[in-house]
Amino acid sequence: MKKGPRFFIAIIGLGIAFPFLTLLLFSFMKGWFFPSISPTTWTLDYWIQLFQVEGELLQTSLTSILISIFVAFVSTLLGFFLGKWMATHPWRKWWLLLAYFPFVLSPVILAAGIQFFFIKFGLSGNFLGVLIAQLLIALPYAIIIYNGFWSPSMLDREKLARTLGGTAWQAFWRVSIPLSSGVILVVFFQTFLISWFEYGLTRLIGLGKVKTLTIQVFQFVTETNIFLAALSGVLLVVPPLILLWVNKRFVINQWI
Amino acid sequence: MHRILSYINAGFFFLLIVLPLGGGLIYSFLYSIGGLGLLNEEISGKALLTIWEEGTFLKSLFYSVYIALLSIGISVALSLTLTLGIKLPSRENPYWMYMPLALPGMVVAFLMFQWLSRTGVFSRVMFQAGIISEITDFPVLIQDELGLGIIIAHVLMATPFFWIFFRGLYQTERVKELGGISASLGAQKHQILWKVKIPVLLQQGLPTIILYFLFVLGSYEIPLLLGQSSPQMLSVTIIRKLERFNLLDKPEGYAMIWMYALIVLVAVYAILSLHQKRKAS
Amino acid sequence: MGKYLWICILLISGFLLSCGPDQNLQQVNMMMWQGDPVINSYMKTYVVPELKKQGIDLQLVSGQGTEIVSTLMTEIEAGKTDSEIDVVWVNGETFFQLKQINGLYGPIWDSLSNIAYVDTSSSFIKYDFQQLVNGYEAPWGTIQMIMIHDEKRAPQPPSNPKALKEWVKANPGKFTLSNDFTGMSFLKLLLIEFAGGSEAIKGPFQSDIYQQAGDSLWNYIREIQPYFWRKGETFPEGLAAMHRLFANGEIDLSISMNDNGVDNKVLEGLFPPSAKGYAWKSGIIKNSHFLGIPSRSPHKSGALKTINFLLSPEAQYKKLQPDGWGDGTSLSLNLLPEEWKEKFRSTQQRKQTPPRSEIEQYAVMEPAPEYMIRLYDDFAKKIIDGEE
Repeated sequence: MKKGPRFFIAIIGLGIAFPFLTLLLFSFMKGWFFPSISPTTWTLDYWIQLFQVEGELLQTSLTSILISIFVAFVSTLLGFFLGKWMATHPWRKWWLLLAYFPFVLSPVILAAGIQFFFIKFGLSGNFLGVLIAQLLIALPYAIIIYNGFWSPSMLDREKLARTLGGTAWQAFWRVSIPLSSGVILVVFFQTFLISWFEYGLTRLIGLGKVKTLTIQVFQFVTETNIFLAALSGVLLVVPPLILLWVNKRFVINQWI
Repeated sequence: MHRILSYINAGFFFLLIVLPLGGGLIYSFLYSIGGLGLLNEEISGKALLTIWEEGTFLKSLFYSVYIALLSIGISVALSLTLTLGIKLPSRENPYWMYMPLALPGMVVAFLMFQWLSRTGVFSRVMFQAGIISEITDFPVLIQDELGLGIIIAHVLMATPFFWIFFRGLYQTERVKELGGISASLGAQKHQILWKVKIPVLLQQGLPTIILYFLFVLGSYEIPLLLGQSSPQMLSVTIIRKLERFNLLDKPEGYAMIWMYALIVLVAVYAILSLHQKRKAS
Repeated sequence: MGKYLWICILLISGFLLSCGPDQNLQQVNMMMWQGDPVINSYMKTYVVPELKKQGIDLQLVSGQGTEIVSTLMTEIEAGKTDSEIDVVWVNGETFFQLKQINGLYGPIWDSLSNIAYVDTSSSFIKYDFQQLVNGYEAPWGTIQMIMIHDEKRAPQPPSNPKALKEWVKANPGKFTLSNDFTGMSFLKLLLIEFAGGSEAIKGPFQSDIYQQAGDSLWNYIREIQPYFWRKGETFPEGLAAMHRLFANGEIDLSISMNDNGVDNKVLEGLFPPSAKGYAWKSGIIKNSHFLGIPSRSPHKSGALKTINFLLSPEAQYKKLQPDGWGDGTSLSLNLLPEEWKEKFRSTQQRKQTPPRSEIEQYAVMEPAPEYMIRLYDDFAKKIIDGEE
């Protein structure tokens, strides 16, 4: 290979590093006035505050992680059964249509439509409400991926186990689960990210009382506190970067 | 046993997917015609008439479609160029290619603001370099009339995704081999590119492209932070109608919800039909 | 696979154990505008810890004006008896809308001991946007609207509509209005003038007055709109955004609904020392901002305790400091105990804006709330959307 591609790759690499560097640099800045490029002071203050026990941001991050793990866990579990049930159902096409619908719909508009019911059933402004609301957009995604995974040949393999004399339980535990362990992990981490990145739906259903990281970032942006916004931005991108490092397929997949 | 399991599954599906969607749609519809709501006195098509006459919904819809079309068009073109134009040392995608996927819309919008606003990083660099001498010399890229800020943000998010996506397709659809066959049949290089490789990738990728188009159409954080006051994209307009300015506008907001939902429903149906047809053939 | 599962279960149960709310504290949810860092910092670093000592866990929720009404309205529509919100920070037009839907609990004045320090006969406290308050909301602060200019960039700032028109035309791109409470309040100031002064617009809403004054106002705005920042095609969404434009020199005038707003921004380092506040000579709006309790709040005793604390001399004194929020007190110096009187009097004077006593002479009262509501609506339709 000649010089050309390397050069381009270097440019692309720089472009990719740029957002992360910006976030990181801004989180160390204080006072940034036009037309100066550098800030009036560099500071560790925000990072030190972050790790103090009473620190709000740390609490927010924990809340976010908790919510996302829960949403991911439930959608992975429920989605597994629903996806498989759907894949073998004669009305598969219609179920799929219904599952795609909330997945494609703008989450914040979905939230606006269902907010009334959440308020009615006491699910507005609390954790449970936010968990269920996020489940409403994460679960369809899980179902869609599982549905794509349970292709006829996959189903055949499971059937084979049955015809070879296994019980339903054995077929499920010894064949279905090992077959699908890859896709299960993918679904888990991707639904985790759907929840982790969600803003509009969380604000509408959580009324801003359930403070997740995205809500915090938005808060900092509206009060034009760009440095804290950058710091929370860093916190927001670290988990997905780690997940990517562990396995790329956790963030993008081929079953859709 | 099997039947009971099936019922349980159907129950969950109904409870968590059908019910919220149906409930939301019916509620929005009833609210929009005045069948519900504290300030609604009688059933009337007033809200529907208003958004039709003032063009609120259509303006917002067209604006959203314009943003989504341009964003997706540019991203697909860029990512095809990257896929077909750059040969990476290995078939396996490197880690850095995936990194942009770790950026949520909120963060991208924030970054765009810090880079491209008139007092942003680029403007400052150009000022220091003497390319511009005043803040107003820097082009308006944020909250601008053409929605350039929104489009750039979406392109930054979608291009890395489509690059990885098309690279995957390139291998699974054996595009390279197809190119080889065409070459052996005497096709020219540019013919292979334009008549074989690009059409195959686009055709196979179409459902995903439409899906992504719908995501952009319904996007919220990016236009919220980077869009101008008016017109605005659908999600932003609807939420504003519901909770800002005038309480009597709430029915209009709900009317826009179900109209938008119906459009998405039709689009999803189209994608699935397309997908199924492809599988069948 | 099993390994991952266990990690998840452990994490979840760990969090559930550690995140449980403190049982000894009563939770109070307060919905307020959170668009100004100094206000947020006053609440988070002073009010919240102080209230914790009194057994109250104050949760701040972002939301203002119509958002508050819309939230409470949906709760009422859904027949929910326990509201998610216990305290709201409101202005006259929100007070009006909340009364329309019977959304406020009250009267609450008798349950607040610190109301004794408030001069309840003052017309700026007795009335909120011309409406009799009747004890349904408690005054948190009293402010005057000021204009902000940069001495260096705009040495001779306009202070009446005619001068503004000339100034804006002579300095294209250097003026804008925030698309929020502050910007709309400035429009209201202009509306009062077009209606013939605050005496003419006094009393209940009259649609012919609005019609007439409104027409003149929109014609006036349309004439100068092309000379606004970004040709008047877009407007900053909030006050913080407008202040940032001013700080960075994109615009040369700004507005604040807090007459100490310049001092705290200069101390914060956002504004340069050459930024000064000044009075709009043909009249500046003076008003009080209030705290109310939603009628369906499940924590009314905690809410009352919270409001009473916010009205206490110590909290008000802290709020008055120009290096913090710098919000004018709603308490009357004459009614305060001696030691507090002294403290309040000796509060450091602001440097960037003429003292209150000096701009007081221009003060006008808020007109009826419907004017503000109509302004919001018409600004969105006529100016932002450009409809006829």
